[in-house]
Amino acid sequence: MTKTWRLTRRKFLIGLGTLTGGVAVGLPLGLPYVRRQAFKFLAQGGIPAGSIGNDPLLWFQFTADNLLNIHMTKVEMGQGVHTALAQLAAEELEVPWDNVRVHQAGTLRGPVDSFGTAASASISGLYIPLRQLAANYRMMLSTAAAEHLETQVILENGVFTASNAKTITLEDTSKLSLEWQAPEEDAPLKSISQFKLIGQSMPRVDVVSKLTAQPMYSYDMRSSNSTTYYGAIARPPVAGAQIDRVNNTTTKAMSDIISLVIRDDFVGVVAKTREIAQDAIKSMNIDWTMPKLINDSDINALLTPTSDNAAELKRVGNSSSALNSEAVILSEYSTPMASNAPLEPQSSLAEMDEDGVMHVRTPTQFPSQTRSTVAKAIGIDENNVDVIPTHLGGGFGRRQRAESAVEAAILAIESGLPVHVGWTREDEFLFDRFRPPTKHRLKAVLNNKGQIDALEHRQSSGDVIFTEIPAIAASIAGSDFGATRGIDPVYTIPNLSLYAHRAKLPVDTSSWRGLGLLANTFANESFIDELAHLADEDPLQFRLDHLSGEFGNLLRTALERVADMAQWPGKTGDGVGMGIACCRDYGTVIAEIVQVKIVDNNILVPKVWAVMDAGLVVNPDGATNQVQGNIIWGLGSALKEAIHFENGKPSASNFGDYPLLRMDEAPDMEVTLLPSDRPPQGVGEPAIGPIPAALANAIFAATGKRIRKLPLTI
Amino acid sequence: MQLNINDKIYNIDQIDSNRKLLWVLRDELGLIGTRYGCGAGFCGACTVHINGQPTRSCIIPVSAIAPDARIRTVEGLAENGNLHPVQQAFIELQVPQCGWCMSGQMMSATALLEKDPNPSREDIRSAMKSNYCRCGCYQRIALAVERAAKLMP
Ligand code: FES
Ligand code: FES
Repeated sequence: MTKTWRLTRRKFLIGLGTLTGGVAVGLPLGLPYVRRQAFKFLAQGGIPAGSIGNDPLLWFQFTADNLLNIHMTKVEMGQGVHTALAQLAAEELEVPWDNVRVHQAGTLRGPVDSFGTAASASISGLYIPLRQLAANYRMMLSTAAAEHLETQVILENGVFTASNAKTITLEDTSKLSLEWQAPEEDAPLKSISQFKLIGQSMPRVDVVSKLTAQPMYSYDMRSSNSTTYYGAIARPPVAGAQIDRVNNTTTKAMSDIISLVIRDDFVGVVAKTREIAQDAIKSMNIDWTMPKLINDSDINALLTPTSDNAAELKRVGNSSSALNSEAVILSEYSTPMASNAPLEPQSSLAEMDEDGVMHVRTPTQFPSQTRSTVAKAIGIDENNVDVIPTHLGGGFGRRQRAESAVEAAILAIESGLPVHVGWTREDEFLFDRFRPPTKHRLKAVLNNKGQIDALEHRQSSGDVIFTEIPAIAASIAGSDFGATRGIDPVYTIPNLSLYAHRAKLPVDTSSWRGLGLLANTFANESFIDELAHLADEDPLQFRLDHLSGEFGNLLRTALERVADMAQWPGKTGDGVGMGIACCRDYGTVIAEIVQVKIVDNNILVPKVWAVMDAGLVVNPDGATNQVQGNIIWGLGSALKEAIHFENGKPSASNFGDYPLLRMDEAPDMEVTLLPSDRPPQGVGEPAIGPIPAALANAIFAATGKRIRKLPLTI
Repeated sequence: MQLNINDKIYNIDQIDSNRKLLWVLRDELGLIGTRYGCGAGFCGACTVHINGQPTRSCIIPVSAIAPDARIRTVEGLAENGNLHPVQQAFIELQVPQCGWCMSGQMMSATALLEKDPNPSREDIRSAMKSNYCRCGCYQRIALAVERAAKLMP
């Protein structure tokens, strides 16, 4: 029987982050002020992790053998979030690790998340709220156990022991009552010195399943109570083309299908096998209304960082007058479009039950949004849509939308059958939502001591977050905080100004790992390196000379440590060299050194060192794995990844045109996480930032050639 | 027609023999451990063994498989309830992130170790270079293969 949850206080938990605050400052102050505030808020405060509700019984459930079942709002895409969140909860509930079981919540079961899983914000955002929820539940259970045993109790290893030596397990205690009352005051949280699980490299809860062929991804999902059928959708020749006319539905291949669904904007079939469905779709003759066919030149023309309508993000001192000098140094950098290319193409299984509830198993990073989209597409109430996120075979931002969820739901409701729709790799590339291309124009003036007197960074980028939020919110925010992520340099510079120019591109761009962090850090940290050389200073020392304040000091420690590990500056010249770069991403700082070896104009990377301070790290081995993964992503991006457009089509249709970094190209990596008592900060993305700049800086050290364009080629 | 998969005989008379082994495994036989990444031989997610040879199941139609061929998939790695040394090593080193590439990685690693029980790091990098890991677990994969070499009986 389900228990009812009753609140005795209006507010059970406080301090759950929501995205109001900063942005809502009154307009009378003027738009530029609001924009700067919004930028500051987002740059410093970080992104909220969403509210998590206040009902512990939605999150926690004790079952036989005193097991603690935790229902997760966040989705697991390999970042280890289920394990880390379980550590937070089990810590405060005093449950032994072996008794912890983790489940994915869906929109009709378990806690609902108002945000989603993104921006490296899950752990930092839930560090306090989830522990508080667990601690309060522990307090309620303690009170109940004490009443039951009629004396004071101590909780250890999942069991309450009374002073008279009687015991009761957490599981049995949880069954003592059907109704629970929230405590008047929040229970005290453990201090760091009391932690037993937080800060330990607990083995990940999803690892064994992933290595033993368990069905856990969307592509593995099949109906549990009846035969699963397969769907295929007519794909336009280029993104943005609309169906004009469906001419031929009587081909031989069509005779094998079970169901054909034609709507204004959608043609799909259902068949017994994936291949039959795909062949049938291929055999159809559809006229498409084509959009304007985009080429690289169209995109380039829109990417001009000097335009007048740039939004001012930050202004310190007066850089425009300082930069009006003859000694101004100017450099321009650019990064191309890139693909997310998670290794598992997206797919969804949709199945309607007798009660009219549509169950959709799908790889979404934003279950609540997917629920709304599905409900709207098939015309049923949101409360009848059960979106159950599966494990994701990679997310990286691309799984913000789950188009296949809608496609499968349409086919399922029309055919009355459970339908699985799986995208092909070709679909993934054609309908990717790419990392936007960027251009950066940086200017600086050095003072007579060789230090930076003034710096200006004008950035131009396609949309990142603006493709996801209403136009009105975008107009108030003024600049796309996804595109500008990482643009604020960590250095103390007396005259500094930052501008963002929004390029409204005719291609679909969106979130890519770290959003703008990689592009902006590539520009900033390459430029700093150029300035260091012009000032005739060692690039490490030059950076250290410009650091101050809290984050400056954190970075100083990280830079000195990484230099120590790599024995900076190492051997230089003759095609061998090291490059250094660093960044701050919200509350995380990271410094990285890349070693390069140039052989016959090929850029080889034997080794990379990284030092990260991400506050208290909940699971150090998991965080290390994330840093390693980001180094590989950063190198892939620095050396290979680029999407071009020709006649409306992206340059890649499969990995043959878009090779990823391979094992034989991957460097040896040494990663250090600095100990810290600061609360946990993001670990899933920051390490991607400095890699391309560090590599470009290493190439300069090795060859004297400065490359300002990604991917780097000699 | 029959297929011998993990020492078990599957009758596939009802199945169109032009279909690729990958989809027959996944959609017809319930062996979903073999994963799909590209369908064109680039990524290695679909790697299985045919007579001990690492093979991309996404490009080979079942009609091209000899009747006496022995197919081994990731489901056939564990024996009598004991995980294969490669699986043990991958767990010990906590290799996966998203995990989608891992079946293919382990099948390539197993094929390598069965041929060369003591590969150098360079041997590993070259034998496994055609298995993509988008999450970037390469260093751990290489270390796990070295560890598995020690665990192999
Ligand atoms: S799915 Fe077979 S090689 Fe990619
Ligand atoms: S673990 Fe995600 S692709 Fe390898």
